[in-house]
Amino acid sequence: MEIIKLDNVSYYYKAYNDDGSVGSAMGVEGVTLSVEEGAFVALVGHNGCGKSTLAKLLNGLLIPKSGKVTVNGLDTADKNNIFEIRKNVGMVFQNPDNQMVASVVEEDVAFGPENLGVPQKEIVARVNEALEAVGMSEYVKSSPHRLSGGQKQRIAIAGALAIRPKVLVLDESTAMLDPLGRKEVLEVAHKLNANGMTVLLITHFMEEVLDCDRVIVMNGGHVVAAGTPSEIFNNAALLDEVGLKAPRAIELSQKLISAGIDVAQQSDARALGGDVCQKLKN
Amino acid sequence: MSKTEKLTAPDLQIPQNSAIFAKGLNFTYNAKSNFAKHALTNVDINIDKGEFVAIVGHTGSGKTTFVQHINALIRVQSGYLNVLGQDLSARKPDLKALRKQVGMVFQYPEYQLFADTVLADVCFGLKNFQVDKDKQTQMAKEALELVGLEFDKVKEKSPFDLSGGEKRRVALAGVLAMKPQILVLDEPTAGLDPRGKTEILTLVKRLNKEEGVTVMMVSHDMNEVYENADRVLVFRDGGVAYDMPPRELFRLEDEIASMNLEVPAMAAFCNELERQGFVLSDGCKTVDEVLAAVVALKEARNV
Repeated sequence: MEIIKLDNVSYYYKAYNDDGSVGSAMGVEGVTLSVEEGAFVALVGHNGCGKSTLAKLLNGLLIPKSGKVTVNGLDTADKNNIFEIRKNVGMVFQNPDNQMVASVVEEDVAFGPENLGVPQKEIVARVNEALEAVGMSEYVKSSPHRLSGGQKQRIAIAGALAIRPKVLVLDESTAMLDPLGRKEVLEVAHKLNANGMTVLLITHFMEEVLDCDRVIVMNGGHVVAAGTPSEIFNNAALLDEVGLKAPRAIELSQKLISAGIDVAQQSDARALGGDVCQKLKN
Repeated sequence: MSKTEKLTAPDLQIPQNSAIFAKGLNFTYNAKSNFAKHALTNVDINIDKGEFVAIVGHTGSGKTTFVQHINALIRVQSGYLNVLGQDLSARKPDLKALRKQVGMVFQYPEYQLFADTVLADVCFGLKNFQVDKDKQTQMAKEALELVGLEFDKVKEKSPFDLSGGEKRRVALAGVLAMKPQILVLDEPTAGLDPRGKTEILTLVKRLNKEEGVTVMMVSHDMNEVYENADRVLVFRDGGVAYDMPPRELFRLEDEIASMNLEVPAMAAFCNELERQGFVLSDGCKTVDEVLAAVVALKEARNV
């Protein structure tokens, strides 16, 4: 089933021209795409290509100027649907420090369900369940500002999980983290996905894209390609055009193949080295 | 602040070409409170002029604390530190001269843009160092062109109307306008897309190779460290655990893993080849360099 559907969606921001008159700047234009329930989808493209605009269209933070966004069958343009839609789509943004609203972890995670008017008893259960899911149960009484970046992002994810969404949108949630923090957040995302959560991962790290089911590539406000990671990374012309790069090991294996050294295309540099040694020995 | 032992320059034999020289540097945050946190322990480092040094290590390993010593944002608590011939452990070092020579680019420097126009923002530092007004514009122009922005196109724009990558370059221009001899960059490519990363790194490398600027770059991206730095300092628990060229460092795969760092892809590839008896030159660091070396090896064996 399609949990998210965009049909010819455009969004323009208000922008002031140099003479002070009001004009518009394109966010996204003519975007049509759908995401299957339970999928792990990556959204890539360079800065300013419309990724974050697209993310904000998914839970009604932005309403399309034309076209239609439906989440779980509900139109985001219909004001009566907004609460239901936001229950379905949890979002986590880039900067962990901007997303903490309380001084104790459990209160921070409870913020969402409290706003939805969930009964107190159930809130406690949801908070515990959400913290468990991100592996942060032992920090329930901690103060968020004493946690590492990766831990803070996991708390932010727990906050999103506490509203029990069907879709989790991670908008560059790993960009400001160190390698360990990134690994923690990605492991949590994949674990949630394995349990049925639809995940949309917006990222600049091509290594993170490798484990996704599908990759959507954006450029200049348009969706320019979609496919499996290997399909996308095989398309050198496309990557070049949109200013992205395949992970180094994949790039090397592709270039070796073009140079007539017949190795398998792969993302593991060490395994690739083993392959090359085989070829050199023969 | 207690200075347990007072070291002076003549005792220390500072190398002649030294840009940054630290000996027995210690630092404790909130030293007199219950929250005292030891951040640096007996750090000894010498960095020569013109080097490109990468600083890596975990969050909390002391790398930022060390880096902030270099332009005296953090004053020396104990130990000795000399930057470009100035003794920073002295009671009153000439901070103004120092800060003109040491350019600091913090994490997400674009958050620090504040002026109405790009030109005013880039000139801010120059203004504070009492550079003539005409000269300010000239220097700002050079700096903006250095970072690849067209002066006439951007000078009157609000910095907030620029894209993320452009904003970062404006912030960098504000530092470069002062023509620093040492450039300290704290995760200069964090949050940028691959193209933006390449642009910043190419620029920094050019400043280092062509203008002879000494570069210290803190980074979490081991691939970028591997391809750009001449030397890597690994900080662990407030001290320098490893200090060596990147190729040597990333041969130590077990040690790297135990510090929760990653081995760069091309290093992992070359390590595997070496284990099986195929040695590529240490200069092969980028994908294309490694490719060329493998192809050459293959051809040599076919002959």
